[in-house]
Amino acid sequence: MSLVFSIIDRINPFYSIVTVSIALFVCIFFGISARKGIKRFVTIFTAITLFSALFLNIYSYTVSGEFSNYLLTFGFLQMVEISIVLFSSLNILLFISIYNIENTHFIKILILFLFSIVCATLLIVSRNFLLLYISWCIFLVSIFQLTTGINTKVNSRLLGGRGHEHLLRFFLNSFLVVILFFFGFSIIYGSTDFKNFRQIVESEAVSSPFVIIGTIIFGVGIYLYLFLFPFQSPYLKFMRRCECSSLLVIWFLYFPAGIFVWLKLNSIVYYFVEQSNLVSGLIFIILAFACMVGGNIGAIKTTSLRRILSFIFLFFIGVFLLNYAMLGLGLVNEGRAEWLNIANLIIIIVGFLPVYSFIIHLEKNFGSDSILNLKGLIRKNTYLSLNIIITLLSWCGMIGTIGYLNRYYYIKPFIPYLRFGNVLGLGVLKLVALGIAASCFIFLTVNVFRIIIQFFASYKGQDKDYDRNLVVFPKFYYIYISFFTLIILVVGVVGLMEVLNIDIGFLSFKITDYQIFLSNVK
Amino acid sequence: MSEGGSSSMNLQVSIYFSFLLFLLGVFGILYSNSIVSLLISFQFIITSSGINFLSFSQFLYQNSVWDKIFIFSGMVSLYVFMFCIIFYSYSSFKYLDNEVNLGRFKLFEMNLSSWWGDDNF
Repeated sequence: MSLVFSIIDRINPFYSIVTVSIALFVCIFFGISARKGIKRFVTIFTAITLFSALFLNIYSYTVSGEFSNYLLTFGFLQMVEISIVLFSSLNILLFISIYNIENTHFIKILILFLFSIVCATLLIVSRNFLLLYISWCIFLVSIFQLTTGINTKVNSRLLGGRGHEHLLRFFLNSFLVVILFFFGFSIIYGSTDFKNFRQIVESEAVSSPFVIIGTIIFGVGIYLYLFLFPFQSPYLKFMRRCECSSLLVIWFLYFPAGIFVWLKLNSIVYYFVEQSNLVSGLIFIILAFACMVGGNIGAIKTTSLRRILSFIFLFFIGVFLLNYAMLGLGLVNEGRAEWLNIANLIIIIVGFLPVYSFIIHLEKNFGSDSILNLKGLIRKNTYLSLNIIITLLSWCGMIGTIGYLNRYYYIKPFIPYLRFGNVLGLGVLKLVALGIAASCFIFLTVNVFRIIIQFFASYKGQDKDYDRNLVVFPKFYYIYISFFTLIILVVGVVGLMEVLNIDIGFLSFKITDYQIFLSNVK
Repeated sequence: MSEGGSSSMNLQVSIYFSFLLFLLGVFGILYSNSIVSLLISFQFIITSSGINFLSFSQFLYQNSVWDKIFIFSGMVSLYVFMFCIIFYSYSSFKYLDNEVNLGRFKLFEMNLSSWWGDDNF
């Protein structure tokens, strides 16, 4: 028994990696099987191990606390990030198993999927440059293989038009990013022999020209990786064509990995933002404006629901830039900026998963992803439609939802000035930031209401086959979408009570508390 | 010329050369019209990174081992990724000498219709 406990102590904080690896080995064992029973067994086993990994990840942090050495670091932020990856992976597994179970290579797809989760977890806990870079490269290789494996000729729309070309363009862009990071690390090596970002920030080498150039190259790389405006073309064209579960892989594994790498750069970025706060604030304002406005304009121009969601996703990615703009202008501190980043990511996950699952079922039913598919659904399927409407309204920041908490902390720095009518006391740049943030969020609201109105619009029945009664949602959709609506409302209400200083003793910690993120930054 | 002056001169030459390779790579990425020329441009940037690592190691850090490990493992990962991309290109387009590989492929399409994802699908 003492041997077991000593092994458990030694593998801290790798509990989640070890657990997922067990599922990986089991899948490899059954790798060549195409029997349906084996596929179901492997799927259920994978789901159980992912759930166990999620539990062990949180448990290991609460019991063993933080961990740090030459190669790895595991603190509160890493625990949250790994939890986000594992929670997203559970959802992705659900859709992979629904839409790919008939695929003869289903177990191979699961192997690649689990391998990508292991690499993502390793990426999150890595501290050393070498481990960070290698884990990211191998993660991208596994995502590439997973995406191409899911988008096989059998069940993919890539065959039509230049689909394979857009997939190639998408991943060549990612390849360019890792090459840029390779170059960036070589530049930083010229100024200092340190092996992680925290050492560089705490040394005198942080103001060296090589570190500045390296950081700029990293920034450009992350900007390309996330397909921010005006580089979003490969992402949009690929998203339009790809198989439905691979879109979830891109949204909830590929993009979060880029955001987590970006958060690893925070210690250096915060240093430069503090040194040149107005200049950096201005740069981030311009970039945030371009991305958020671009996302909104793109969404309003199209009637394809996939494309609308893809643009709104880009909008939310642009909100990360807004966080840095607010930090640069001194409107929020570093801990609050970290909190806003994580909150934004959580809003993306709990919002996009139910909405996309709803839309993809409509697409399978009608054969197209037109926004007209939503017409009159409130009358035919009131319960699910209301759930989706609540989720969409949380994106607008409706009070009592998780989105409201996020919006509140964007507006809070401006409240003292607005309350006393001393708007001009803000200064030009802060006024510009307020104007940009307000206009972009209002534009998002317009986009969201454009979707919501379709639910209530009456359908005139011009096409005989276009029968609303044919839309039948499986029972698990009701449970699945209700689960996310519950999260949105419960977290929103609890957070609202914290904002209003009403203590009901529901949780032992505060959702809106950002102090714990400060230890990660310092 | 003193030894210190000679070594700083060599380091400067190395940095300028690697920067030139980097610029060639970036130019190639922006103006290349095929996957093959795109991959060659990537090679320029990878090579310039390798030159940076090795020259800094030799002239600044007394031939440390860390950069060699980084170069080796980094390049292995990069070339595995590149192999996967090339193999996918071959399996999707049947031949490597077709239009996409040698013809009309640009990584960054800078026009309005591409920005909004417009295409005939």
